[in-house]
Amino acid sequence: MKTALLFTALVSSALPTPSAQAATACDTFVKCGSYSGEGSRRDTDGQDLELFKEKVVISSAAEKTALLTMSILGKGPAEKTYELTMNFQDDGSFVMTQGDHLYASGICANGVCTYGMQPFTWPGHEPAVANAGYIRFTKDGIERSMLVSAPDGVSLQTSTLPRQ
Amino acid sequence: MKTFLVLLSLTLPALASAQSPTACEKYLTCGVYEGSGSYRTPNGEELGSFAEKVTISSTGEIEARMVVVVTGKNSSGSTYELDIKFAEGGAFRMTQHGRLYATGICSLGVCTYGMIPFLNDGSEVTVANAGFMRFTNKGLERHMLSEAEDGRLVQLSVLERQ
Repeated sequence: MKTALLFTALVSSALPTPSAQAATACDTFVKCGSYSGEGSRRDTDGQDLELFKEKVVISSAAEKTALLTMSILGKGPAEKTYELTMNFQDDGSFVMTQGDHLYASGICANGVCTYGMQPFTWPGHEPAVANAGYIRFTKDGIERSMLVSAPDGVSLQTSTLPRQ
Repeated sequence: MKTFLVLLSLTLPALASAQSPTACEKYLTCGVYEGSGSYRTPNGEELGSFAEKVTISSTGEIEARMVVVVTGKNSSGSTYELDIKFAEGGAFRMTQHGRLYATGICSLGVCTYGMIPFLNDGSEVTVANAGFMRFTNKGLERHMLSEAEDGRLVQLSVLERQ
């Protein structure tokens, strides 16, 4: 009986416990949460071109998948919302999709995610728009910086979003 | 025999043109590009300049090699030998001596990228670099945003095709 109890104790301790659950994408690659604040887009001389409000919500969907929802309210009356899925590799590299479409590709490491977005164009507007930047997780929230090259020139977007 | 030769002469060009396109034909414009660049604060204040040479060659259907040589005014220069492997849709992984260096997407004559964030010895601020290369009629324009402990910089290079 003593042997049986000892065996049961040994087996029980080897079984998965809640603390032994697989790490989520939020534990490994990004800091999940809700972040909200303001940002600006400036030209290469530092002049403000646009101010906007921004909200970012990051949640874990699986061990290597996170969902990022970004809402931006700029000059126009309507808020733009982007619902994005990040699929990670073990080394922190990720592909971001919007629905079934490739949206960006990047790498998360050391509390920062860098990314390059899918270039795009629309009729009558050449050359293609290019966007690349990074999200930095700080103790207070998120800082996001992005370089934008559009037909009207190059500009820099920066946002500071405190954690809610 | 005559029929065989005619058939062969018809088949060979068809076979040659049926070769798979290389990475240079599908995703980027291979060649040698040379010129100069500068790095500036986000407010446009120039902090320094450099000479730059970029050589891009195809190493396979979905693979390319990019060699970047950057030389500052008073430096011997830094060379980066980078291997690029593409996936469907133009997404790519870039490695340096087998180690992940950057990922990005090439499409519509532009390659955007984010480099692997890293920590310098003794620093607590992760260095972040992201940017894009645009292939133009004349050559290549490269923009990169960098942030380190001492602040944020924008790099711009204009390189002519040689």
